[in-house]
Amino acid sequence: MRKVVFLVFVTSCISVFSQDSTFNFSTGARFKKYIGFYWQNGIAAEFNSDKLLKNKLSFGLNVVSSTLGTALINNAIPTLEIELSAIKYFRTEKKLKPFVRLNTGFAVANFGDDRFDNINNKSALLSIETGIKTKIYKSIELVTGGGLNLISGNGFSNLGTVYPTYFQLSLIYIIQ
Amino acid sequence: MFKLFFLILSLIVFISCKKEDKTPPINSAVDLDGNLINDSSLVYPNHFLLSASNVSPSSIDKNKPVLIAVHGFSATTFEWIELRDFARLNNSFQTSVILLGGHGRDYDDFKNASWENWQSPIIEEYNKLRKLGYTNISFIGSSTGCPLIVEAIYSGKINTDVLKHVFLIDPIVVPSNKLLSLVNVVGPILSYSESAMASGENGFWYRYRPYQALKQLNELTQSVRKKLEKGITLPVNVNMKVYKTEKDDAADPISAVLLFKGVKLANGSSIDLQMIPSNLHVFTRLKGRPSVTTSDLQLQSSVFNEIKNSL
Repeated sequence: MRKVVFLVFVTSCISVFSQDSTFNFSTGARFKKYIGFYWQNGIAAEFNSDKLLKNKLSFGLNVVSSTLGTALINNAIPTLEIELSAIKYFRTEKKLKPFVRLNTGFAVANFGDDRFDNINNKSALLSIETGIKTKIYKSIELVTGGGLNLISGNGFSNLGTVYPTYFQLSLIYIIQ
Repeated sequence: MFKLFFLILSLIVFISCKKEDKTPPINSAVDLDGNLINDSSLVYPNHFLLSASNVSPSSIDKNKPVLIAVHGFSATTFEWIELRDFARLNNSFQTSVILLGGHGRDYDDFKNASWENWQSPIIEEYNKLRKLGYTNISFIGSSTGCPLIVEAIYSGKINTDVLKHVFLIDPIVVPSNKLLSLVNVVGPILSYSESAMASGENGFWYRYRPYQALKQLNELTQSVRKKLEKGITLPVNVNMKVYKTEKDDAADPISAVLLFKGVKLANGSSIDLQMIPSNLHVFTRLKGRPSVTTSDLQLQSSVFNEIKNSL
């Protein structure tokens, strides 16, 4: 239920801001790899507006899952991570735009058997990320970088599939 | 901003490339890491290894179940002494307690050993017992001993014709401390990590863990995790049971999930698995712990008896 409310909220925000001529929206695929653990792939979306902090910050949404990554053809644990982000770009007039990003959200895992019911299967996410964004073709942008999870899991107080560091690559299509 | 980034990066590369490791402040009178204390099995192998204590087994001995016990990372044969004593008391099965390669000696031996070196005494003892004619051999591993056993079976390093059971106690496939995944970067900077030990554990575990050994642990667990993801089918007639504590500061409980999903019996059915409501890493070892509760003792006894009855 919480996931549905969350998605409705995000969709509503996009719909409200899309009426605004200064509103920029882009979406695409995100490929995330924890160093020493799984590939988790999914979608990324990003938007900014003059009406929202005068374009100084962009906002993002990432939804990735190991079901589209390591667990696609393997016996890996299915995981889902949903994050909201605040992004600050530098050198916005140049071809290579460095950025810093603060992500927060939650992660869940499906262990698939009743015997694992007492293992922690969820965790809050809080990470800082940095990297570079560049336009690679007309409306397509490549975002690449790495991040540090400030909350990583030990398996009992937090979900054990959340590792401290990751790198990511996103291919984004500029819609508006 | 870029200048600062490259400065930090250069500093990390410089520190990572430095040749000299820091030497830990080993107290040889107390620590296993020094050159005064060694594992007892190096001096009295016949008290630990069946191949050394019984070089010409009778036909009764050959058919009596043998349990090869394999300890974990930085530990010694001490981890399985209680099982050995339990077996002697019950007299229904025999044990052979292995000392992993690079373990039980000094810091430099530990630092210089690869995980393949750790594994080789397991294979050696199994092959010796098989050659002596033992017909009913099983493995029991704790912590890092578990991926070493699983890897040996998966890679065909042993002939499994006389192998019957594999018992895994608190197996480590995913470490609880996720910083292990950064050992290649952080390791050369820190050189070693110190582990907190109770006074009853002094001299039986390495106090200082060189980053080279942690790197080997990381390689082993990563390698076994990937094998589990692809799927491991046990040889015909070999059973496996996993016992995993729910709260464990060394082996993440998801290690049990990965083993359950990744290992199948030869007939395609699932392995046996039991989650244990305890927060002790290697709950079957109680000796040397600062405090032991009645339920810890009951748990140890019930698991030892269950293992005895299934052999």
